[in-house]
Amino acid sequence: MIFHMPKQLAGLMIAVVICLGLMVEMASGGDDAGPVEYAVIVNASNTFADDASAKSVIKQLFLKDREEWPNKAKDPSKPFGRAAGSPESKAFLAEVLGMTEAELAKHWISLKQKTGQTPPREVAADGMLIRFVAKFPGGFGVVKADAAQADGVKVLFTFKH
Amino acid sequence: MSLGSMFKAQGGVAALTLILLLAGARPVQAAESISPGEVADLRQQLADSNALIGSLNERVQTLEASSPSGGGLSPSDEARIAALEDMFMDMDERVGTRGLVQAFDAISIDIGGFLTQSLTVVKGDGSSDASFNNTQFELLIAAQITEEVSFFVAQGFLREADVDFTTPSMPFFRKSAVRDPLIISWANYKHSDAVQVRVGRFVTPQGIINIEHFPPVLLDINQPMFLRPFSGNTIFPNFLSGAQVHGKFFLGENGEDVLSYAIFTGAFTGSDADDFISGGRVQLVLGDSGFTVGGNFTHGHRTAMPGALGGMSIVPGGSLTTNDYNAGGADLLFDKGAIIWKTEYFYSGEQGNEDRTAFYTQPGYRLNDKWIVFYRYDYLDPGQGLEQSTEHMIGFNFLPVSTVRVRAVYIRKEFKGTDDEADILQLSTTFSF
Repeated sequence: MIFHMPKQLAGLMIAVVICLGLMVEMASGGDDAGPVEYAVIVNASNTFADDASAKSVIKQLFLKDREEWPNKAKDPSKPFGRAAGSPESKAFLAEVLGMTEAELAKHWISLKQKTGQTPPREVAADGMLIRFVAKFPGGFGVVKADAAQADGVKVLFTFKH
Repeated sequence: MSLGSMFKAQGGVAALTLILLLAGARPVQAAESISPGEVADLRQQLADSNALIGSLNERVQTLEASSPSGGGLSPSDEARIAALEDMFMDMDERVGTRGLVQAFDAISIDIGGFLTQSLTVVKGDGSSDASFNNTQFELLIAAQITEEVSFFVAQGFLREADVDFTTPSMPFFRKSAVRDPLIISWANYKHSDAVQVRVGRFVTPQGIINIEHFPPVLLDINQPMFLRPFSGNTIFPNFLSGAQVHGKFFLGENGEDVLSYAIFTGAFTGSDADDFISGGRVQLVLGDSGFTVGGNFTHGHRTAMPGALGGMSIVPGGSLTTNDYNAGGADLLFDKGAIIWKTEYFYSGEQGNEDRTAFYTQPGYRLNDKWIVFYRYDYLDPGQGLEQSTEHMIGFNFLPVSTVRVRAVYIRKEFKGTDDEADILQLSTTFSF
């Protein structure tokens, strides 16, 4: 005996499947917390505040393509990195440096072979990074924006990732 | 005063105030004989006050439970302690019970290096040969002496068997030679990004690949023909002992364009000690476009002092002629995304002798972070009565990790004068740290 499913029932089942799919999609989309805001912080005494060039200057200083702040501050720049693979490091790499991890690794290998320069010191915790940046007049680094308001440092610019 | 006791005190004060208000009101009310409705109002107020006190007590208990003095840690404090513990464990793992190395007089000292090993098969029209022809270890030491003064040295330890193309149809490997050259050794004084002074033995700042120089970053360990043999002076010397002034300027609206320069003078070890060689280079990096353009000039004197052929070179380490020369060149680099393309052209006017010309172009394509394929067309007219040569090279690089580079290249080498050809297959690997 061949079972014939009514067309209406078949249509209803298809609609239910589509609705379930949409619900699953919406539910999974709801898990995405959205972009997180990060801040590049500098020492509170740092007078550099050029919004237009800030990102490219920070990129050049971090990569040690330059060592002086554009405002000719007496103290040389002292970049601090974040632990490789950390959310702060990934966000900084993508949004400020505009590089992949492989490109960054190649950059440091090239630099250390040519001039002996090494990557910036990596700091694991926001609190410690803030202390380091507050200690060195040329210091800078990236933290989550909600941790950036602290004594001795100020926000140069923020970005989302 | 702790948070909990503060809230307790505030609750007590509120209760006491209410009692005093009630107590203060009562004599007046009593004297005027309080009505039952007013008593009900007062009872309601008292009940409300008791409810408020209860609510405040609950809040105090909640705050006490979440505050450090109450025995618990906030999530942010827990994260900080975990990060500090991770950092401590990392430091302990690195240092352990070992003694720490300290520099005599330096802010910091860094040590690195690399090892390169190659296997080369060379086949001419008449014979072929094969050898593990190159083992190269270089020790790199960098020291920051003061904020302004740095020091860098590269000491090489090489075991090389040079391929001999004296008779192009019959190439062969010579016996291995052991060399331990001091490749680089300079001190650098930084006045500013724009003005720095370097003295010692340095890579001659000319072109692209001569400055890159180190095998850990090169697609092919055989540099273009005009840079062979290693430490030679085919167009300009690979290295000089002398002094240079160099620096950078940041141009454009946002300082993204970088103009750098180097002016140098020094002596080449394969010539007379008083044969000074001077020159300069200007380079412009055009923001994030990927383009870098460069111009180069060198003036010097060559003294005939031929050395042996080496490093797949058709030119000896020293010159075969004695004359002054003026060499100029231009280079173009495109490095962005998947494409890396290097091109250099040099021409050297040799006074009273045959001029020299060199050109190569090397397009490469990054398949992903680990694989790169590339091709190089390389032409050299070395002057000195030697024959021109052309090389076609195709190869790939595999980088299992960023500090390990495995290469395989095939080279078709053509000798113009004799119409001889040679096929070369080379496998090499470089480990750097």
